Amino acid sequence: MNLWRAAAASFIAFTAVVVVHGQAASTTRPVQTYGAGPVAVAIRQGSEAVVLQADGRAYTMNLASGAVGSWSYRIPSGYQAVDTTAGIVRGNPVTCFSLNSRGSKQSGSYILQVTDDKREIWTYLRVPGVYVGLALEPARGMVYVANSSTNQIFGAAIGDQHARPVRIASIPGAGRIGALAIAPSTRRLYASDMSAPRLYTIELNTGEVKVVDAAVEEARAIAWDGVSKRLFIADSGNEAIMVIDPNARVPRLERVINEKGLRDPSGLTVAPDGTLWVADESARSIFQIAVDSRTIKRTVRWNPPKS
Amino acid sequence: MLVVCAATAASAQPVVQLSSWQPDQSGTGVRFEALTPLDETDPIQMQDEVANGAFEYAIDTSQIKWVTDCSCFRHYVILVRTRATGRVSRHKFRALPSGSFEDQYAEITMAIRDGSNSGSVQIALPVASAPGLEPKPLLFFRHEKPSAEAGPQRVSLGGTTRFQLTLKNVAKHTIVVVPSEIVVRPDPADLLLGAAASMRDAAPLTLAPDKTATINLELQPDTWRAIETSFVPIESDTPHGSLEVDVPYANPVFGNRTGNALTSVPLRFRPSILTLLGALVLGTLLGSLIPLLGAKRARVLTWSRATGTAIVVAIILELVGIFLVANNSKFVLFSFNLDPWQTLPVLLLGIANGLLGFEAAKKLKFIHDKGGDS
Repeated sequence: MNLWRAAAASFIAFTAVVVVHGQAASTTRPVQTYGAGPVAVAIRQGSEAVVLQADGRAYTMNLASGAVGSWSYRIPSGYQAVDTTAGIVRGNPVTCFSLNSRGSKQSGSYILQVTDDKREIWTYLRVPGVYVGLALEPARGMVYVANSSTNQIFGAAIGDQHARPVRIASIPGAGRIGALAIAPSTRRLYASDMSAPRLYTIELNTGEVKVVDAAVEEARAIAWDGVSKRLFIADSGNEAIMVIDPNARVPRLERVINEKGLRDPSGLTVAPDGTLWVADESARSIFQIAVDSRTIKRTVRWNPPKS
Repeated sequence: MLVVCAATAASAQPVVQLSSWQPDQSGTGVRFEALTPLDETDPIQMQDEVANGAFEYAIDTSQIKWVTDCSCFRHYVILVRTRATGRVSRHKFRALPSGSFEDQYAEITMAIRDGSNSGSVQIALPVASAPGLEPKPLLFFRHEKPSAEAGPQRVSLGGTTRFQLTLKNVAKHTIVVVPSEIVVRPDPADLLLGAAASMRDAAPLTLAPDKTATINLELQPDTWRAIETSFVPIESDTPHGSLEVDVPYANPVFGNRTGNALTSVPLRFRPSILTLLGALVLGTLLGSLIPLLGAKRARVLTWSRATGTAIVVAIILELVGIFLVANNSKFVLFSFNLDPWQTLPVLLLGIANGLLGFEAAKKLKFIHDKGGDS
């Protein structure tokens, strides 16, 4: 009995009260996010396109019906995706994004490759700067990205976790290179300039760079049409879609369309049927444009479910 | 003063110039870049005119967005009607910010001229630094309790716990819009059966500079999970989990310059007084049974009186603990900072008192005497 009492007494004896002041435990931190207009569009496979929103969400879209598809992806927080490109590489659909870090938590820029099963491959871009335009060369399994700060173009192998980006070209005279497009048959890469009325042709086989004068104001996106061998340009400054044959002896810029609804064309791709698909961030719409008749064939109000 | 012109190839359109904004000599400011003007065919309601009346103008800042491609905000649109010809032109500008400064309206000089007329006027245009360079977020959470009392939010083991958070627009010049979608996420995810947040005021909520808004939160814990989480005693200011509250906000001037005010509210489960009393009585009864089982002869009357004494002493000790902890004290037991509001410490307190029986009262007196002497 005494043992029990001793144990209990010890238990109580260890009890004490100490005055200590508490402190606030909650914290507030800002995270920058962006609105939800479509900023880029790219053909993924067949009649399916990938649409990238300004808030970093990407969805597939059926070009035949204009309906949002089943595949979607959300860019990891802390990064902003500027452009997207997609295609079939070695039999597998792959979607790529050019990523730039937003804040101090993450740093650096990447090419992010995402497969159908959402497997991610991050390729670190060592040269500092803001990376914008992307172009995919499925036959070679390569993706190209433009550094708008240094005006350089880098290439990286698709599907290789340890791929090191290789510098393809450097354009010292450029103002601020932006969008990229590729002509696979000739292995020519085209680059737009955001702050000068020029385009650049880069021979991927030789690295040779050629300047093409084109009186565009703000070329936010470019797309190569392999059938007509022409380059389409989304010119948000002139609120128009332009077209040019950059390989002509005297390249001539033509206006395809400048409908009123098209106020901020920011993404552009050529569908297999020859129509253009244009993402308009401000209009929050995607327009299908018939090139021959120079009219808007269809307007898809872009409002996919957030989940 | 650096001046940028919206020059025209065809001289029929007027030239519009916007001065740069530089609040000081540090290099912080905004430079405006003009694009080629376009003809406007839509009917436009003009807002004002330059001093000599030669030009009317309207300013459209409804579509300004940050664009990474150009590292700029675009487009500031100025529509100009030349009185003499009636022609309306649309002049688009990009703003290239440098440095870190608060979102605000800046005084800009706009000059308009054509072949025969000219005029200038001071206009206010919204300016902001590049994303990531904002000096501070626009919205902050302000805690209801004074900082001395702030700690984990108490959540009952069952039923619904309600509490409030206060949001404050800390911007000096900017209205902030808070949409209705407030996201709440418990951590761990299975800690709560339900969690909901709502605004006291109608959504979407517009918060003027320096104004506040209240968020009402309702939590419904998973009782068994809560008991499991809170049964093992931990220090009284250590949370059992947390609730992430994510309030999206937007600066309505810059379309896509939105942000999220995030806060993590630490949660600590607290049983009701009746649960605590039950644990205390149960513990005392259990504790008092142990010496009874070890005794060769046991008298029920003596046992019941000893147990009654132990229960009363345990209640007094518990009340003292609650009182002191309520006054920002800590309840330290075996070097552990315990909480008299938790089930297991109270159960152990009951067991100890039950073990002591009549001795508990003597120990209480001893503590009192010792306290009185010192």
